[in-house]
Amino acid sequence: MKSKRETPAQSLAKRIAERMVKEKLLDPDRVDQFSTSLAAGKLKEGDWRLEIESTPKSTKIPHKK
Amino acid sequence: MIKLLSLTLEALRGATNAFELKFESNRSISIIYGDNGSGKSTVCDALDLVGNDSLSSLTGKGLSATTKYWHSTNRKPIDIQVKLVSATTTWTTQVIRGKAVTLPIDSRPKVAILRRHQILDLIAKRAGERYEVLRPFIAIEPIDESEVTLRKLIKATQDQLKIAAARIGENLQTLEDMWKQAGPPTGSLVQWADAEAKRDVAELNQAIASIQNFLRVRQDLDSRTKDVEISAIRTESAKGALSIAESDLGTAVASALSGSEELTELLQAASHYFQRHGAHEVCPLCESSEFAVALPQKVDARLKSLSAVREAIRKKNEAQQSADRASVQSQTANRYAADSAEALCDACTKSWLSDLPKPKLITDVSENRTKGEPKDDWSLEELRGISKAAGTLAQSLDPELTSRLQRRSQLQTVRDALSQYRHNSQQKDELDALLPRLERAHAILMEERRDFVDDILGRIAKRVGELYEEVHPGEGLNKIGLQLDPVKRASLEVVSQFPGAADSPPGAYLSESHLDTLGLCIFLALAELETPEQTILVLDDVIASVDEPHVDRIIEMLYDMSKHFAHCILTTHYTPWKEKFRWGYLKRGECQFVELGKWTWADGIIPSGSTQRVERLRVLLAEALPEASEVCASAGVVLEALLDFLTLQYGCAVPRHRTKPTLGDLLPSLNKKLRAALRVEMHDVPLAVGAAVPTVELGSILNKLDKVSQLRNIMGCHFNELAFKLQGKDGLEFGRLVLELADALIHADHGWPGSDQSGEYWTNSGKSRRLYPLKQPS
Repeated sequence: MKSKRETPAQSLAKRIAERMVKEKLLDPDRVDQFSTSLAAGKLKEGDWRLEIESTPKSTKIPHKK
Repeated sequence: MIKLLSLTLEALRGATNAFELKFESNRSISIIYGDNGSGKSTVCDALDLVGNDSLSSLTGKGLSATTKYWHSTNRKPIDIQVKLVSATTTWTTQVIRGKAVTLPIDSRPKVAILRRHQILDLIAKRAGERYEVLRPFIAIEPIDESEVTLRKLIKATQDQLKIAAARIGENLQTLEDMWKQAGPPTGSLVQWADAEAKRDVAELNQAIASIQNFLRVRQDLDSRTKDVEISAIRTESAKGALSIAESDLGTAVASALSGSEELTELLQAASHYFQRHGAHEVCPLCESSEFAVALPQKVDARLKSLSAVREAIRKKNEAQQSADRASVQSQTANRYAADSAEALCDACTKSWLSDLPKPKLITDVSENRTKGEPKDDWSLEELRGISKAAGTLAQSLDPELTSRLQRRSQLQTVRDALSQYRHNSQQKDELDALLPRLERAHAILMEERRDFVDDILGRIAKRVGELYEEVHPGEGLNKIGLQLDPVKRASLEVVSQFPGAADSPPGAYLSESHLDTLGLCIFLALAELETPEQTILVLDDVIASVDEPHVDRIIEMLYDMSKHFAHCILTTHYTPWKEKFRWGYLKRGECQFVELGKWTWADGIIPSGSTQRVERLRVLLAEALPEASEVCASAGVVLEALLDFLTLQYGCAVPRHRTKPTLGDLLPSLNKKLRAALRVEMHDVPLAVGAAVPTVELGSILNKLDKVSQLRNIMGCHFNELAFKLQGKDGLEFGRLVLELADALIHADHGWPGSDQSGEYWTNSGKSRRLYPLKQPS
């Protein structure tokens, strides 16, 4: 039967999205759309870049050389 | 929750004929009992086909493609039909072109099926294969797909960063080369390049334009001067030719009659007149008719005689025309040359930049011409003079132009290199900022995925431990761990805690029976993980190797587990299970017991029937003409079971060390005090308000049985002539007393009163019977 419960992928996608918001890597307004695409395996390279570049870069992360 | 009503299968494996299994309402668990080869697995296959489009019973048997073995050997694949009917939906599965097609597809039930051969797969297979079993329950592949694109982006960003750094290096190298060419001047390279790029090139461009304009005008003047020279030569030549033609004409006229030139012209005019107007009767000139006849012919004759003069005249006219044309062309060439000379003078006087070599020779020519009367015409000598001067100046301007063009090119190169350097630097800065954010996102994804999977595995492991503990209580082997290999993804380790051997594989220390239980527990924990209420759980002959003491616990565990699922179907060939059912030990209220008969190719799968012993006694007594010997035989077995139960509950002294105790051993062991206290309250009977709970005093029944129990041996066990003298009604009375005692103690759905959890009485699973006392009176 079709399940209305959250799939494991959806649960994990939501956790990842929330963590990214917390670390200022994702716009809070984009959580739902981002996690839906992430859980469906539909995030392309351009989508990742757009999402991460669209957030304010208030936290500078040093690049690992 | 799905409520199953029936399952029909036809032409599938052992179902050579249509077989229908009807599910009893309000039974969440169906036990299908049958000997090996009775068709139990075919029933499971049918459910597998509806839910999973496959027949897992055929996997692992060395058959490459199993579909060709799906149909019964006497039927065709197209004949296969499985119909699963629930209270709301009917699913039908057929095999079309080697593929199972189930309709309606979108609402079909989940079927989790575990078969005997798969049990050890969960324990004994390699870690990677174990993970495959687990994979559907973790089901995060889409996240993995998204992670792949993130990793590609990180790699691409790293590559772009390298390219940007290399380009910056190239840009700096270009600037450094230019910088070195320039001196190198003081200050930093970039500062110098910035200053160079900002330099105003208008003056430079103006100088280049002036020189290029001068050179163009000078080239034009050269060309025009040559034109003047050529046209002068042509004019002179034409004049010479005219002079010769005039001389030739004079000679021709002189050699002809005096006035022949005029005469020729006159005759030509007269001939022309006659050609247009024809002959007249009179001379058009003197109007005399004397010579009017044939006058045109006479004119033509005269003209012929003057042809030399005419030819000279033609040539003279042509020479005149050539001379006139040459004169016009000469004038035109002179005018163009004059314009070029004027333009050259203008180029050297107006807007001539001070840092260019002075065009003194040219300005001198210009000034000389303007002294005195202004002149429009330029003589050939003047043109040659200014052209020569321009040639000298052009030679000195050549290096000036080259150096200025080089300078302009250098500045453009610096500007381009600096622009690219800044663009690439900006791009590198952006990538430098982006890359760690991408790497952080990737780290978050991996951390969360690991935690998520660990969490799932932890929950599964905990549940496996709980289930395992139910079957093997107190053995201390319930600390089950499921661990993903940190190095190899998709690799699952199963570990257990053994005294002195922590985190060891269970296969190293557990017996096959224990491993079977563990495999079953893992499967149940996995099946329970996601929407069990929408899942039909099918366990195909999974407890075959479990030893006797643990079977009851497994059965109990399965009963408990089945409540979480939409429906639970168990198949077994385990005979004690059948006997437990026949003796009412199984909780009939929760399970449906289906026994399959012997399978034959002609009949296929056929239902058989296991009737409970008590029910069988009831049926015998209900017959129109009951046979006393059969009643006594059946009642004797039931009475032995009832007395065995009571004597064990109350710890009565019964000799059990020889063989099974007989009625002669059992009945006397229930002493008077106990019999007086024994009673059963019937809590499943509807009561009027204030009415007392119906109670059956067991003592009186047992006392009556004391008197007739010997009938069991006399009439029901052996051939005995004494039986000839006894009345059949006594045997039937014996049967009725046993049935009365059985109905008091055993509830058809809730079984025997074997639980003392109340602390006051014994009761069954449905609490529908209360047996007093709890202990034998002292």
